[in-house]
Amino acid sequence: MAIKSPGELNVFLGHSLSDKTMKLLTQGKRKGMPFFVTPYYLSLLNTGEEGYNDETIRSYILYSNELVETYGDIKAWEKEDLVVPGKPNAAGWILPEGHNIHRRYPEVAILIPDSMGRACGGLCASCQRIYDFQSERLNFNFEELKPKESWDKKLRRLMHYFEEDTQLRDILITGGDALMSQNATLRKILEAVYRMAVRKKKANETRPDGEKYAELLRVRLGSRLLAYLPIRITDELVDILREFKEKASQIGVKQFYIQTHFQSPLEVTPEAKKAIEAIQSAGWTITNQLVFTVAASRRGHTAKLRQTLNSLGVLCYYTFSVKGFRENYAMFTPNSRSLQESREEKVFGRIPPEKKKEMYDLIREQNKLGKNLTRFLKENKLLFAGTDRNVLNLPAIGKSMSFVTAGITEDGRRILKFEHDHSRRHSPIIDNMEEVYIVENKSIAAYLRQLKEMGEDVNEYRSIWNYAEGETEPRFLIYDYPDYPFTITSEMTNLEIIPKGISAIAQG
Amino acid sequence: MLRRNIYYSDVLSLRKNYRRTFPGLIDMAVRNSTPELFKKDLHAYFSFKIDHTTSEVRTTAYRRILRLIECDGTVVNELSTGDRLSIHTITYLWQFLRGELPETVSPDLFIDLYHQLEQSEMPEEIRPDRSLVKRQMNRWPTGLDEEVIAIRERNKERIIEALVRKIERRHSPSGRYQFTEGLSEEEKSNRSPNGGGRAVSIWLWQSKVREN
Repeated sequence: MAIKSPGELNVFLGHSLSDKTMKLLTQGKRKGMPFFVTPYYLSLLNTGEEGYNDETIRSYILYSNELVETYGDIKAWEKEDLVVPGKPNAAGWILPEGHNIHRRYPEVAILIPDSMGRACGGLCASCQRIYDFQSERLNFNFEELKPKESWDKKLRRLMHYFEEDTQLRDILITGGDALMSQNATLRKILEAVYRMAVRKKKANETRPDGEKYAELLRVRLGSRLLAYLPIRITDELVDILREFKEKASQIGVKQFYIQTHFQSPLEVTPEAKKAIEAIQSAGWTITNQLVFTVAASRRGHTAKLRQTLNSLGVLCYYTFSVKGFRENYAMFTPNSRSLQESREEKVFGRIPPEKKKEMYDLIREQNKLGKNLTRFLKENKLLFAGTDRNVLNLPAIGKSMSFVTAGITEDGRRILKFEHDHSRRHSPIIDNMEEVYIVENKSIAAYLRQLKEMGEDVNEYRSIWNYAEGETEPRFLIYDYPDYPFTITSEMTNLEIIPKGISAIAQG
Repeated sequence: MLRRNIYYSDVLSLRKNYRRTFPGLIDMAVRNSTPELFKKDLHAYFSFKIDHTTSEVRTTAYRRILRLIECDGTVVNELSTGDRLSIHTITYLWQFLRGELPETVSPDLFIDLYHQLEQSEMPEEIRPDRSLVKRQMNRWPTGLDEEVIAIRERNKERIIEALVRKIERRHSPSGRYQFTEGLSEEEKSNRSPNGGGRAVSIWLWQSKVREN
C-alpha cells in the first residue's frame, strides 16, 4: 500500500504539492525513477501553513532538479561496489560472484541478500545506493525479490567467504534494508551466520596461536525502517533477534547492533519509540547514522537529533557528508560546515576522557539505557552524547575527515586533499594509492545562499570559512572490536593488490 | 567586513570590496606582470608574517594561504571522477585583482578567498557558545512533541481516507487488499489495511481487512 507515483503522492499529501514539483516528479517517473513512500512516513510531513518545518524529511522524499536531470547517467561513487568476477575491487578485495558482498576494510564486509532486503521502506533522495536503484539491482518489485530456491545455496557459498577469510570478524547485513526481508528469510540468514561462526570457531581449534583466523565478534543489521515503518518491528521479529543474540553470545559474538538512520528529530515518533524499545528488549544496541544534508545541517538540528535519540538509549555512530556527484548537488553540505558542527555544536556532547569507561559500561549493561544515559549526561553537564564521527566516505579509502584545502575551482568549490583515517586498519591498497583529492559538490557561498533561502540567518554560520583543515575524530569505545584471548594471523586472504608500476599483461 | 548580501555579489562589486579591504593586494597584483611573480610576492609576504607572529590562529590562516599558493599550477587526480584536475586558485585571484578575469570564473571563488584573506589579516578566534547551541537546538521540535503529534493525527485521518478510496478503486477480486463486504465508512477507516506478517510496505493501523 505504499505510494508509488507522483499523482498518488499529491493525493495523499492533500494536493499540497506545487505544479512545479509535480512536473519535476512526473518527469522523474517518466525516466524510470522509482517512487516508494509509506503512508506512515507521509503522515510525518506537515502540509499546512502552520506548525513545524518539515524540510529535512520533505527533502528526503521529493527529488531535486539535479537528481531527476541526471537519473539514468548517475555514476557509482563507491568504486569498490563495482565487482568484476575474479578481479579485485577498488580496495583490492576479491569477492564472491554476484553483488552480495561489498568490502573495503579487512575486518568487515557487507552482506546484501537476494531477498526483499534489496528493497527499502522508501527511496531516500540522497541515497548512497541510488546507482544500484538506477541499475535495478536494488528495487521495489517485491514479488521479484522473494528469495528463490537457489538463494539458500548461494547464502551458504557467501558464508564460506566469511568463514574462510582470515580477518573478517564483523558482518553488516543490509541492502536496501535488512529488515525489509521477511521474518522467515531473516531467520534463515541469521541462522546461516550463526552456523558460519560456529564452523569458524571450530576450525580455529586446530590452528596454532598466531595463525588463528578472526572469529565473528559483531553482527549488524542496517535498517531505516525504524524511521520509515516502525511497525515493522513486530513481536516475532524481536523474538528472532533475541534468540539469535542468546545463541550467538554463547559462541563469542559480543556486539549486536541495529544500525539505523534517523535523519531528523521529527522522525522520532511514538511509533518509533515503541520500535526502539522493542529492539532494545531483545538485547540489541541501536546506533544511528545520518546524512548531513543541507536541511539537516542547519544550526542545532543534528545536536537536537542526538539528544532526542540519546533519551531513548540510541547512540550516534556517524554523521556522513553527502556523497555523489551532480545528482546530489541540492543535498550537499560542504565539509567545512560538518567540521563547524563538530567543533561548535557537538563539542557540548564530548564525553570527558575519564568518563568514557563509565559510559561504556552503562551502554553494555543496557538496562534502562535511555534513562541511565540521560542521567549520565545530566551529571556530566552534556547536552547529548557526541559519540558519532563526522566523516566523508571516500571512494576506495573509506571514512575520513582528515584533509587540507588545496585549492578552489573556478566555480568556487573547494578542492580537498584527504588522508585516510589512521586510527583503523585499511586494505594495504592504501600504501599504493597516490594523494587523494576530492572536489566538493558545491561552493560555500552557494550553500549559504541555500540556507538563506530556507530562512536561516547566515550570520550564524559566518565562521564556516575558517574550517579549511579537518582531522578525523577518534572512535567511541563501543565501536572498537573487543580483543581475542588468542593471536590471529596477520595474513590477509581474498586480497590481490598489484604493486605500483606493474600493469596487467592481459585484458579481462 | 563583507556585507551579508555579498553571497549574491557579482565579480565587479566583489572587486570593489577587495579594493576597500585589501588595497595592498590589488597593488601587488598590478605590479606583478605574471601570476608566477604574483605568487612569489604573495608567498614572501605570508612567509614573513608567519615568522613574525606567535598567534596560533594567525599562523593557521597564513599557512592556509601559503598552501593555496603552493598548490597553484599543480595537476592532481580527482579520486571520485578519476579526472585530471589543474589547480589555478591564485592565478584566478591575480586575474581577478587586475580586472582580467575570464567570464567562466564564478564570484563564489573570490567570496571564499576574501574570507581566507580576512581571517589572515583580522583573525577571529572561534569560541563555541553552549547557551547559543541550546537555543539553536530548541528551534527543532521532535516527533514526540504534543503539537507535532496533533498535526500528524490529522494527517493520519486524511491518509486513511485516501487509502480507503485506493482500495475501493481496486475492483479485481485477486487484489491483495480488499474490504470485507458490508463494512461502513467508519469501519473501513478503522480497518485500513496492514501488511500482516508478509509485506512491510504499508502502514499498520488496526486492520481487519482481508488479505488475499
